[in-house]
Amino acid sequence: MNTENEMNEEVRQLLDSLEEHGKNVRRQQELSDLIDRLAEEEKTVAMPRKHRKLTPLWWAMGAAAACLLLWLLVKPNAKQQPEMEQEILVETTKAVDSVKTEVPEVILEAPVAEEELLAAETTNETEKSESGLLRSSLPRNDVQEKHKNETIQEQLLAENTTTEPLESPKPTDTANIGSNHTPIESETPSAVQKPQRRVIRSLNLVCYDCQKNPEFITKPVMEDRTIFGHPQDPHMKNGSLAFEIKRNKTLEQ
Amino acid sequence: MTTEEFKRDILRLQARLQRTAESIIGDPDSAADAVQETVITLWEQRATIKSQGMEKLSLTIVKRRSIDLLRKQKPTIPIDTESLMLAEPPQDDLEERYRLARKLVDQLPQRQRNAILMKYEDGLSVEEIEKATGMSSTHVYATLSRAYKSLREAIKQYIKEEQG
Repeated sequence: MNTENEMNEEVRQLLDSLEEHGKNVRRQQELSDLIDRLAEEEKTVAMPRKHRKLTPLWWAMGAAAACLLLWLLVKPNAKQQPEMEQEILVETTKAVDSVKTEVPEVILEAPVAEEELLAAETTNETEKSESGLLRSSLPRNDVQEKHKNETIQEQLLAENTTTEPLESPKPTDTANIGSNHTPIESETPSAVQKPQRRVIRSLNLVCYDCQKNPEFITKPVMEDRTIFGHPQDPHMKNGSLAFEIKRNKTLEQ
Repeated sequence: MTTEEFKRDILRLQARLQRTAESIIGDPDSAADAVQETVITLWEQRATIKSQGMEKLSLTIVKRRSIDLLRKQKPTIPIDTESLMLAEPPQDDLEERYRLARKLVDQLPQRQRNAILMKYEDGLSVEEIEKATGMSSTHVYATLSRAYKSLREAIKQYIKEEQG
């Protein structure tokens, strides 16, 4: 009986060791799972940051690749575009050339008209020298503008000398311009008035230049004063044109 | 220290940590909790831990955790912390006994061996063994009873061989 109990005790210890080993195996499994979970938690905390950094980069790279592909696909078709551009360029150069060719005519015409007029009415030499002095003193743009103004001025002069008396009220600048520019009914008032204003302004400019150059033209006498200030010079009514005509007249006399 | 290295070291030390915690707390389940808390602490510090110092550090931590748990369980009882910290973990011949038990169990007939291993090593209940094997409960009990008898005989035989 004693040996039986001892045997039972031996069996119990043996079975306990089996049980203990089994428990240890399960605990080890639990610990292993715990470590895996800790590692996963660490990854879930750390990995998204990496992904957040990487994802936009990949998107950007993908977008860049797509753009490159698109560009490569579109590029062969784009070869046609330069031809169109060339056509446009040719047209624009033509237009520019036409404008360029027009400008010198104006510039060249101006002295000729001036010369003709002055030859008929005044002595040519003094006029040429004076105008040459004036041209050289002005900048290039001013010279061009001056020439334009002069051509307009000459045209007006020609009309005035042939048809109108000197002191009479002008067929006016607007009327003169109106002969060149016939306004259409559909045009807006501003569109119609625009060239007039330009002429008037240009005349003022010329007048200003004339005033600046006392040799070119004598200033009107502004001694007589009224309560309204200086009396307006009758010649100033027509701007420089009047001065020019008056000067020519005096020279003629 | 990589995760795999950490896991390998912890599983190697698990039995010793469990025994140490059990020797302080006295309860295997609470000891298992202390071991788990120790593992978490070690995981947080694994970057600074070297593999050589792992055993000492883990034993120190598990002792402290066990004392903390013991204090929580028995707040009125004074605890000699110093002696518990200095105490060596109990030497256990569990591995040797397990090897002997496994050797004797492996000699049993297959049905008895499966029943014994399922009940003790896997920790299954009789109902779970019924479901796993398809046997009835009476059949499971009978099989287990026969397995005990066979083990007794096997132990006798083993002792005879050892003595002889």
